[in-house]
Amino acid sequence: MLQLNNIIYKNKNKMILNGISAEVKQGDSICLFGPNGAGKSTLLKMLAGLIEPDQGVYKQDKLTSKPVGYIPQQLALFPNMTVKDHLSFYKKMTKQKDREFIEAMSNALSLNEIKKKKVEELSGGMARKLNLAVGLIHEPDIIFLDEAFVGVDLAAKHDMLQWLRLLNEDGVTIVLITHDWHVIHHLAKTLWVLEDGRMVDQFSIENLPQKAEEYKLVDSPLNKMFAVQN
Amino acid sequence: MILWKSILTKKTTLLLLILMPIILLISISLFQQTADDFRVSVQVVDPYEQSEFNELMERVDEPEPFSVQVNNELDLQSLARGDVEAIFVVENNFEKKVQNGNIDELFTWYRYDHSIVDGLFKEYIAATLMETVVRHEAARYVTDELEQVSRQEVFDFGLRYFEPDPLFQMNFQSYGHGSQVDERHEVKHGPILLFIWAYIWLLIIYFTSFIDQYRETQLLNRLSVYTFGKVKLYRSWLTLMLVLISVLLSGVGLISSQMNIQLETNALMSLFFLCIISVLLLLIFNLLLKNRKTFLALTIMYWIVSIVMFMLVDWQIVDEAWWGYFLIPVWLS
Ligand SMILES: Nc1ncnc2c1ncn2[C@@H]1O[C@H](COP(=O)(O)OP(=O)(O)O)[C@@H](O)[C@H]1O
Ligand SMILES: [Mg+2]
Repeated sequence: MLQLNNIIYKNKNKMILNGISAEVKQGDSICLFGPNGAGKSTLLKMLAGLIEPDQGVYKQDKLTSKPVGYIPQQLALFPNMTVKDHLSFYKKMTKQKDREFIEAMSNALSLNEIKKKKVEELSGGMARKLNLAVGLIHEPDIIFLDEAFVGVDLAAKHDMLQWLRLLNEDGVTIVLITHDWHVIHHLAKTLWVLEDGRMVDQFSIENLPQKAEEYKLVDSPLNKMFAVQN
Repeated sequence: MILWKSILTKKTTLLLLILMPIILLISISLFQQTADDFRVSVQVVDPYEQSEFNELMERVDEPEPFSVQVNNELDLQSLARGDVEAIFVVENNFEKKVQNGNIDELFTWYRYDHSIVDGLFKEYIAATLMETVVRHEAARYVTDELEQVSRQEVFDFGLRYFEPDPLFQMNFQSYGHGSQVDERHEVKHGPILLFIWAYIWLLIIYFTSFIDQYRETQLLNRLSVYTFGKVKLYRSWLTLMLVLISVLLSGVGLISSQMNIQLETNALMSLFFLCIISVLLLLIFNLLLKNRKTFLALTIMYWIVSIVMFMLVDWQIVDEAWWGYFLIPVWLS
């Protein structure tokens, strides 16, 4: 449903994306992986249609005319507004009529208990859950998550992963950026490896063990944890 | 909209908005002081405490720019000290003389060498007095012809013919509000309008910090996936600015009229439009520059240059140059 062909994106003559070609199919669950400054966030924004390439072709072929779901890296929330304020604002903004969906999501992410709390009073995990929820309120067909799990406690991460998996199983496409093996393990089906604005590799999650060896990730403590769980 | 609520419930905003009326009061009382400087004090003395004369004085009220004291004792020292610019002393038997139309030398007019505009006040008393005399004259004439009506009835009836005011009084009004007084008004308006503009400019700079925040937290990116999402956010920010400025300027208008200061509606309207232009300008700067520090440096520089330039023009130290019109407050002077 999304196609990139030889994309080049510059910022003040600095090459940020350098000849990227890739495809996102419906129902995919892709993790963008790579060091800081590799261009992951930029590529994600381009996939979400927030920025346009300087060169190359970007093709979007969505199932419906619904807006995409974009969850930015930062907590893009109003600090002194409550959880409820946010939910009703985005409900209005996206003209979402399906109360059941919002109710189900609020339950899954246990937002109901904190409805009256202001964002600035929320713990990191709770705020992340709200940051996720407001981006999903209109039931998008495709979701883009930029480091949505940073600073999230285990319980909250569990809730979020559970819900996203459920959506993915229902055919919702997910593209996410994370360094969290736990998240990759539970959510990603495909990995894209970026470095210096270039797509270095694309492979399926089953090939991760060999690839991890190839990329010398074997000795990293995170990888050990991942290996045990696998 | 969530944006209004989130901005308006912020403590800093509340503080600035509480500061608003205080700033208003300060600026207006500054204005009032300068206005008082232009007041001309006159004293009216009635040694015989005559009620009909009191009624007359009530109708004279306090024409601008006079401040009138009514006393029972003649105090020529106050004239010598310069406390008052003139003293008018009324004769005894005021009522009878007026009723008979015998008003020659009804007043003794004391003035000082430096007295300048007290003549205007004399005209003002004279106008009101003439109105009364003419009505009495009419009443006398009518009761001589028709015996069944009382003199008072006709006198009261005469009021109808003095709406609108007699012609010579209107002449006086236009004289009093002629070029002389108007020029002084503008000189007085300038600083207060500048003061309000300067405050609003800083206020808007504060409110642009919210837009920066929305940019930094990627809220603008988040909203831009929705149709008109970003536009809606900017729109409600702009409406909020519009409402706040309207409230502020209506407050200025209201308070100044309560305090009996005539801030011309035109001046307020042009200030309003200049403030709207300021909002748009600051928003455009903010969108173009994106960097907060550059934005602050530029807008505060503009603020300072504008104020200095305004004062130089206002004090007629420099002539208005064409480039001065790039500075918003210069339009106010
Ligand atoms: N607005 C910007 N202005 C200038 N450079 C930027 C901007 N956004 C990103 N970059 C640069 O682009 C590169 C890729 O950034 P990003 O996509 O955020 O990487 P990642 O998400 O992989 O850490 C980095 O070198 C960063 O410095
Ligand atoms: Mg990033």
